[in-house]
Amino acid sequence: MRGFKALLSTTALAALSITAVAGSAAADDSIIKDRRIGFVLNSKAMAVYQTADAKAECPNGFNDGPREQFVKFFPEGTKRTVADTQLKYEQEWWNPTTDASWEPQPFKEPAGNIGIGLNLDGKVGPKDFTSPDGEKGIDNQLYRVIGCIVGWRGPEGQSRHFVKSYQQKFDYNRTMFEITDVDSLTDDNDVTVTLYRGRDPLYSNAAGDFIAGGSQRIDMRWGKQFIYTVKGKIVDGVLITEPKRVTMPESTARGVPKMDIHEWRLKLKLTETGAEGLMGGYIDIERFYNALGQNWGTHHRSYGQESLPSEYKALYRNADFAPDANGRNTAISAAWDVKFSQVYIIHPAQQVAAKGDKGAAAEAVPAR
Amino acid sequence: MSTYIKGSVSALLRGSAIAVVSAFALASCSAPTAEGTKAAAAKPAAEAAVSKTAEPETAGSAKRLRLLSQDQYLNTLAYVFGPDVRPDAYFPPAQRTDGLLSLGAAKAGVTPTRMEVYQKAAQTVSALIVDPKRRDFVITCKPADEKKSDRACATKVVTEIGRLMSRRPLTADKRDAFVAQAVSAADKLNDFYAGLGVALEAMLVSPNVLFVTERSEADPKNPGQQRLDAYSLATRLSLFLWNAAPDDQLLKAAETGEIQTPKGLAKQVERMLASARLDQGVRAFFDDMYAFDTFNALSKDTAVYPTFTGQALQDAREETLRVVVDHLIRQNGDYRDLFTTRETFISPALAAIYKLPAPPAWTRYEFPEGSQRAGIVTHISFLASHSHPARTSATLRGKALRELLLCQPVPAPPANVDFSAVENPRPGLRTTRDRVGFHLENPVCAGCHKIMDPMGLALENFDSAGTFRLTEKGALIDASGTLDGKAFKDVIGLGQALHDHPAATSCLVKRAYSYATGSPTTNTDRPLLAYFNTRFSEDGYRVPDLMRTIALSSAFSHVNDGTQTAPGKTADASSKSASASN
Repeated sequence: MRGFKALLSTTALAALSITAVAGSAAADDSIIKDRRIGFVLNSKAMAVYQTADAKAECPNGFNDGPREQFVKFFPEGTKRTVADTQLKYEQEWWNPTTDASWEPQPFKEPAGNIGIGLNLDGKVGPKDFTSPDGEKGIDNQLYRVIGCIVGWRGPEGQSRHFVKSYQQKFDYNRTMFEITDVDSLTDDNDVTVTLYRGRDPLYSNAAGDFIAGGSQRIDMRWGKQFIYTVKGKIVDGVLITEPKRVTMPESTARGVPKMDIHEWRLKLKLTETGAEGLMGGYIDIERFYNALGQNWGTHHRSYGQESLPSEYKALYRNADFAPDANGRNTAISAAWDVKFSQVYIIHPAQQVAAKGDKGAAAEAVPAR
Repeated sequence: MSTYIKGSVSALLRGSAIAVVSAFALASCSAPTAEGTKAAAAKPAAEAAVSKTAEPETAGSAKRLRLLSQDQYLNTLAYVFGPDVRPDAYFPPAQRTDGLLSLGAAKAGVTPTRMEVYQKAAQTVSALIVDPKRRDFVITCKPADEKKSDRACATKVVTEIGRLMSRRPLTADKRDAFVAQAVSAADKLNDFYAGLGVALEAMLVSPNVLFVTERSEADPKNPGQQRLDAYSLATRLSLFLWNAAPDDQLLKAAETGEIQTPKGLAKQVERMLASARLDQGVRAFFDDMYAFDTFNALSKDTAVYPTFTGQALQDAREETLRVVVDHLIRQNGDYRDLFTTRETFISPALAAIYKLPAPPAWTRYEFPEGSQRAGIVTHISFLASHSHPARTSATLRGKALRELLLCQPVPAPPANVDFSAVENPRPGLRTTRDRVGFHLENPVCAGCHKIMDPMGLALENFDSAGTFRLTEKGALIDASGTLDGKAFKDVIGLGQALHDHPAATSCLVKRAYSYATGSPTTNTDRPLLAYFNTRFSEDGYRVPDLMRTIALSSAFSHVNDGTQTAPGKTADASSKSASASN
C-alpha cells in the first residue's frame, strides 16, 4: 500500500510540474500539506452517559462526597478527637483498601447498560455497555465508578471542569497528533498517526473558542516520552487507530503529570478544521487513583461529591484488564470525549528556522 | 481645559501654562539613535547627483502650518525622553487629503476635546519625566534643594527640552515664562520636580510643539526666492525621513547654518538615510499611502471568518510594513518588485489565514514558486481591508488598487445607487463575478466599474479575510482580468501588470513628494514630478534614492505661499507643458 501511495505521490508531482499554477493554487487552498495534517487536543472529558434528569442512569441519586460521608461516620453529639475523625478519614484516602464494609452506605453505580466508549477487546462481554446508537461491547467500566458522581458529570462537575480547563490552559498538557501518508480525510485505509506533545498555547478567537489554523512546535526536549506512532485508517471520514500502550501528558494542579493508557486508540470524525469523537483504553488503577488524590484538594472533591476511598473500591470492583499474579485486574477500561482543532505541527528542522536567517527560514518553513 | 483640571494648586498652575514656550539643548539626549550601515545609504550623494536630468525651475513647495501627527509626537517623545515614555495617546485622525492623511494635517483644527487629549498625554509624559526612577537620566541638573524652586536648574532643563520639542531654540520670552511657571509651582508645592513637571506639561501642549509652522527667508543665492529657514528645513527633513522632530545633530546643523549649504544638507540627508530611524519614516509614509488607517476601524464577521482574530488584524498591517521596510530599505530593492515578491513575514495569527505553520513571533517566509501569493496585493492587509465584513468586494478592491497604488481617483458612486443586486443577489449567481456582472452591462454603472471590477475580480481567489479559495459556493473562481489593456489570467498576472504599469512608480513619486512637503501636488508641479520620475527610473526605482532626490531638491527647501507658479510660467502653461512631456 505504501509503495502504491509513493507511486501516486510521484505521479502527482509530475502532474504538478505540468500544471504548476493550478497545482500551487490547490496547495494554497489545502489544509493537508505534503500529505500531512495535524490536530491538537482542545477538550477532554471522561465519557459519561447522561440523561437530562439522571433518573435513568442514577435512579438512586448521586454518591456521597467527603462532607456527606463524614457526617454519616461521625454524627454530631459525640465528643471525638481529631485523630479519631479527620485524620482517620484522611488516612482512608492515602491508604485505601478494597474492604467494602468501610462504606457508610452502598456505592451507587449507574443503572442500565447504556454507555459511551469503544469496544476495546473486540468482544461483547456481560458487563459491556451498549452505545446510545446501538453498538454493543462498549468497554468503559470506569463509567460504573464515576457515572453517578457529581464531580465527573457534565457540564460542570468539579473534576470534569478542572481536568478540561487545565488541559486547555497549561501547555504542559498540549497533546496533539499528526496524520501522515494521508490522501483523503474521507477514506484512506492506510495512514500513520503520530502522537506528540506540543509547546504552545491553543489558538483561539476573541470569543475564546478554539479554532483551526494555529501552529504547534513539538516538544523534543522533555516530550520524547510522549511520542508514539500507530497505524490507522479513515473510513467515511472517521479515523480509527490501532491500539497502542501510550503515556500521555496530564498535569493538573500538582502530582503525577502523565497518564499511562493500555490499548489506547482513537475514533474521531475528521474535518479540515478539527476532529471530534472518542479516545479509549485501559488505565492503571493505582496510577489513576494516586493522581486523583494528589491533584485535587478536598474542596474540589466536596463540591463534586467524590469520595476517593469509595472510588478506589469501585475501581477494583470493576477492573477489567491487566490481571496481577493473583488474577486481580489492575486496570480499568475508560473512554474520553475529545475534541481537537486542526493545527500545523512544526517539526524540529522547522523550529530552527524561527531563529535562522532568511535563507534557512524560507527553506525550513515551506508550505507543507 | 478647565473641565479637565482638578482643583489642586498644580492644576491651577497648569491651566495658565499653556500659552508659554522657550529654548536650548539637551546634552544627554544629543547622541543620534542607532545608526546602521544600510543598503539605503550605499549610494553617496555625489553619485546620486550624476543624472542626465536637471531639476526644473520651480517656485518651490507651499509653506505650511500643520499639526504634528500622533506618531510624530510619540516618536519625538521617544527620542527626547526614551522609548518607555510613551503615553497612551490617541489623537483624532486627520482628514485624508489627496490620498494622504499627512496632508490633512494642514487642515486640522484643535477643538477643546482634542486639546484635552493632548493635555492628558502631556500630563502623563511630564509625570514620567520627573518621576524619581527616571529623572536622573532625563533631567541634566539637580536642584540645590528638592523641596524648593531652583531657577538655574529649571532654566537649563526648560532650555534643553524646549529646543528639542519645539524643533528650534525657545525665544527668551517663552523660555522665561516656562521657567517662571516651574519656579512658582515649585514654591507653592514645595517640590522642585513637581514644579518642573507643571512647566513641562505646559510646554508639551504649547503651539510651538503641536504645530509645525514653516518659516521662510530670502534666499541670498537666488534673489526673489524664499527658502525655508534652517530650523523649518530641518523639521521638514526630519518629519519626511524619520517621522519625528529633528535630533540634536540636525538642530546643530540648523544652528550653524550648515544645513543651508548643499554640502551640509547632503551630509545630513545621508546621515538620516543611513540611520535606523529611517525605518520609522518609511513605515509611516507607506502606512499613510496604503491607507492602513482603515485597520483602526476594520472588523470581520468572526462567524464567517473565525481565524480573523484581533491579533490577525494588527499583524496584517505589520506584515506589509515589514515587507516594505525589508524590501525597500534592507535589500534596497526595486519598488515595483513589491507587487511580485513572494518574500514576506508571517506571524502565528496570519499563518492561520495563510494556512501555513508558523512558530511563535514573526518569521521570514517565502511563498513557494507557483503560489498565488505574490506581491503585497495578495497580503491579508490589502485583501481584508478592502472587503466587506462578510464577503469580498471586487469593486472596493479594484478601487483601492486604482487609488492607492496608481493614484487614479475613482468617482464616488451616485447617491441613488441601488445595492440590492449585490446585497440580495439572484439565486444561482454563485461567484462574485456572476453577481457583479451587471455592473459592466448597465452603461450607467459600467463607466466607473470597468476601471475597478476587472482588477478586483483578479483577487477573488481570496476571501474577505484573505484566505485562499479555489471555489465560491462550489463554482470554480475565474480570476482573470485586465488592467488598462493588459490581460491576465490570475492574480500573479495582476501583480505583474501592476509591476509594469508606469502609474505605479509615478504614483509613488507623487505621494512621496506631497508627503515630504506636506502639500498636495498641483498642475504646476508636473515638470518637477516628471524630473523625479526620471531620476527614480535612473536609480532603478530605489526608494531611498527617491527620498534623497526629493530631500535635496530645490523644490523641497524653497517655498511659496501656495499660489505661485514656476518662474516665468503661468499655471496653465506649466500644466500644458508637463502634460505634453508626460
